[in-house]
Amino acid sequence: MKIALVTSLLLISVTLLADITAEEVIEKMEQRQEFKSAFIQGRMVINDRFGEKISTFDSWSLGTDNSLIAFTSLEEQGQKVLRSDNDIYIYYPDAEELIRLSGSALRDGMLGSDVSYEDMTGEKSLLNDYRVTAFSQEPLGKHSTYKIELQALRSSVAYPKQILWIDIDTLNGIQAHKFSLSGKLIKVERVLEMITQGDHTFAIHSKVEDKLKSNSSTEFFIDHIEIDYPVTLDFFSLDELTW
Amino acid sequence: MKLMTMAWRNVRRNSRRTALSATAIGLAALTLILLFSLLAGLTQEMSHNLRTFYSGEIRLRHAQYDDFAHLNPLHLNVANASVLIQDILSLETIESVNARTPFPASIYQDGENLNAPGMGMNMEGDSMTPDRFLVSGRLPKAGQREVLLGTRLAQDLDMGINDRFTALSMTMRRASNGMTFTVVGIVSFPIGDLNRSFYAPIDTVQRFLKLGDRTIDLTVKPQAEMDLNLIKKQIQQILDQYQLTDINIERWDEISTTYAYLSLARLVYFIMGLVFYLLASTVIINTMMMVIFERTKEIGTLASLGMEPGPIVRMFLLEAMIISLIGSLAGTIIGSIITWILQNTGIDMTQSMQGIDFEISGVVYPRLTAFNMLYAFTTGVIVASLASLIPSRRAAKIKPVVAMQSL
Repeated sequence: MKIALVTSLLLISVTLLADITAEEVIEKMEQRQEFKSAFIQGRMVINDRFGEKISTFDSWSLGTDNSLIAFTSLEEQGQKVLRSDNDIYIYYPDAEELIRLSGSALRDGMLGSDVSYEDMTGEKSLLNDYRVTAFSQEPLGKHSTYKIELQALRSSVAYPKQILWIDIDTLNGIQAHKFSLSGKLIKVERVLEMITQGDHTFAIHSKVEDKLKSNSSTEFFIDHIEIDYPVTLDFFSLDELTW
Repeated sequence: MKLMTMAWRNVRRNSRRTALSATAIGLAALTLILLFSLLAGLTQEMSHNLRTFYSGEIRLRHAQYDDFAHLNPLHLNVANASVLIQDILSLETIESVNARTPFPASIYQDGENLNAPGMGMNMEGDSMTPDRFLVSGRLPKAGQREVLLGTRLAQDLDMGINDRFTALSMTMRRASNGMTFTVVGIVSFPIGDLNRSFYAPIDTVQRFLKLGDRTIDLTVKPQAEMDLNLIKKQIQQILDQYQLTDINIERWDEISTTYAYLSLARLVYFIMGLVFYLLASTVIINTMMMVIFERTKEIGTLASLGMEPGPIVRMFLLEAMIISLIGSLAGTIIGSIITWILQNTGIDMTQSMQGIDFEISGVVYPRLTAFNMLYAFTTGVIVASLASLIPSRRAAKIKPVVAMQSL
């Protein structure tokens, strides 16, 4: 009887997985997160061994390749981070030159957070950077999820291996584990709260933990979001950054 | 007196053997003088450098800063720095008080970052006296985004006067910040490690790191010859008034572990000195044994003529003492002359000390002291004389009959 039950559960599982491929799950998840342009106001709460630090920011984005973050909290007021294609530039009000990040500097945490500048770069779709190596289903908290393991296609990709947990019902990403080449867990990203606007979903509360630092985490809160915000490509130029 | 005459005559009997024994003791004395003088020079140098370039005579720093220094914990600082400086300066025992803030930074240049430590300091009043070490240019002005570059950093950046660079660092609340500075001076401090840094006015650094009226260190220079423990108590009373319980007040010699190692090295050198002399004394023991074997008949004759064992021991002891006196004196004199020359010329260790984080200048000046000379001389005489007791006692035990049989 038990054997029959387990066999039928396995068959159901295989049938469910056969309905959709891992690549399709990722594509659908990314479609729900895609929008033409957006304006976001939010907070970044960094926790480390010395306590809590809150940075507020305004952020504009156009497609997946252009984004600008302007920090509004007193401590970082006037500082801006621009991503244009795969280049990242930082503007400091007291500096007479723009800082273009490259090499190891890309691995630094943005404003001391657990999110590196490197995390802001990458291809439009995960599938341009990774291939699927394993696909299964797994419960995660109250969610039933697809668990997808990804292997990087190139050595230039920031994380050689990732594991994603994607909600089966909503196809929203719930959690991601990112690994180094040696298989060491480097980062854990978790979505703690989401909202849906039309066909789009947004993580309005998420948490990133850098496992290479002890007692360190960064939480992101989106307080205000406007989709299809009127912004042009010129807005993401270096001239605009220093304005 | 007769014993002395006999001993002196015996010393002169075989001048080459005497010279060999004396040379062994002399070399030990010479080595010790050089070693102790070098150590004394290093100790004096380090003491001066620590007080001048690192901690001041007395340093005030947050009690937890050192535990997290590798994380650049700017929030563990000395608050209300300007008020504290004024209060401490109001003490009659104090000559100067200065704020210093060391911080890690990376310098952005052509798309690359070069790590370089920075230091905020009072350019005019700090005990580092950067004006004395200016190679070119001038001191940065307070409130301006101007810096002094250490010579090595200037080389690494390939920068000179009027060049500009942007430094990136973390602020007190752990946000990042960048500021562009103009190089107005190149400075060459006597400690190589300090020349890999850049130095900016303290108020500019406070603005860059968003410290407000805070600093990492307050360095205190008392009036000459003041008791540092007394001054610590006076400063503590000021801190107590403001209920600042988390600030450490430390004397310069309480801070540096390297200085503590030098004190330990002095003890090790004293022990090494004794070992040197014991080794050198084996030559004297050997010489005396040979002498005793050669003069067995003579010793037997002296004994048969009524010379007691005591005078025989004293005679050989005197011989050894004369040899060690000659050796120690010669070694001490030659060692002192060499040290005196090196004391003036210095020993250039710049190349060998490159890349070593050590509070000592590239050129080390040995320091000749009366104590070191006296120690090298007297220890040589005493150890070598005592070592000769072994063969001397053997000589005293020779029976006249046995001595005659050796004919």
